[in-house]
Amino acid sequence: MPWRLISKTIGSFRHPGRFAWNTAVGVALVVACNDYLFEVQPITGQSMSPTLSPDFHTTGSKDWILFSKWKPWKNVERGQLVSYWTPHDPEKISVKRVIAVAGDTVVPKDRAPGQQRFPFARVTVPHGHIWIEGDNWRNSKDSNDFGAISLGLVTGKAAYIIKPWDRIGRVGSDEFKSRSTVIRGGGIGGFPAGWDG
Amino acid sequence: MALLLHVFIRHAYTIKGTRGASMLPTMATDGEGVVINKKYRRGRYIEVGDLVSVRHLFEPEEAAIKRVVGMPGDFVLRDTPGKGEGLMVQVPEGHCWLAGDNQSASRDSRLFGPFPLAMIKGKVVARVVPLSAFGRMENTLKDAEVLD
Repeated sequence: MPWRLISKTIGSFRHPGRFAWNTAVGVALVVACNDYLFEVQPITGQSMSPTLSPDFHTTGSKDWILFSKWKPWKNVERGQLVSYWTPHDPEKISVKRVIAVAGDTVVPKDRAPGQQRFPFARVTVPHGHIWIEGDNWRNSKDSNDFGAISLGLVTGKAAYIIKPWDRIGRVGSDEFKSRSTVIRGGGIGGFPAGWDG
Repeated sequence: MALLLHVFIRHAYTIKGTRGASMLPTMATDGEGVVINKKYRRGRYIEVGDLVSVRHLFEPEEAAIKRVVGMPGDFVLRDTPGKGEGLMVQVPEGHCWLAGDNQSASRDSRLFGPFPLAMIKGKVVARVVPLSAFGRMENTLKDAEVLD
């Protein structure tokens, strides 16, 4: 069976049309997989240290993460690591931990007394939104700076570290400590004033 | 074949049906089909006045069509014209300001504020259904002219 596949592949080089078609299907397969099923991405930056890429700021070594990408806005839970389009730069993807989900109330905490990051003392996460923070709160640009983000910005959920070999394992949904205090709420979270008017 | 179609729909063009009164009179309340060009996804090459298909801010599986009335750095009127205190706000980095053409029946940036460009799925470039209204949809916004 493998021989037939190999000889077919080699044979297809002699037929430009068939070769182009097979290449197109192959590329489409990879693109569709990356779009809908899973994608492997390196983690740069130190905002998720020590959970991800703990040595990035010293040696520059990166963890490679397998992201699950099937309907990423579904079943997002506190503690999961998600990738999302950053709200301030539409071409940049970032990874953070989900701290609170819709309906929860967050009491953001400043990095140091007097250095205000978030303009409100407490905030309830709206419907269809999540509150995300980096594990390394001293060096993280997250919801404390830009507020809750829409689930529509979420592109995937981090599932496994697959490289380097000695750090292989599951990530997310463990016990975690957040810098901000979260008051868990039930329900679906609110809509802006006037939504039903 | 299905794979190629998938990639085409996600990265090139798609056709979608529209529903809702928020874009009257540009689009009917029901039963119109429009072509969406995905080249403009995440706000690339988008200009003020363009019609965009966006991911719903509160229901990620839903989509909506709105008009872009402000890009990052622009100053826009926060409330409905003629209502509110006439406050102008600046659209932040990476965001745009959305409005429905039918202001009295549209949920847009007047309610939820600046909208992330990253949630733009594409630009509405043509209408295909109904056939009587078949044609390209151009950005009709023009620069101000000095009239004597």
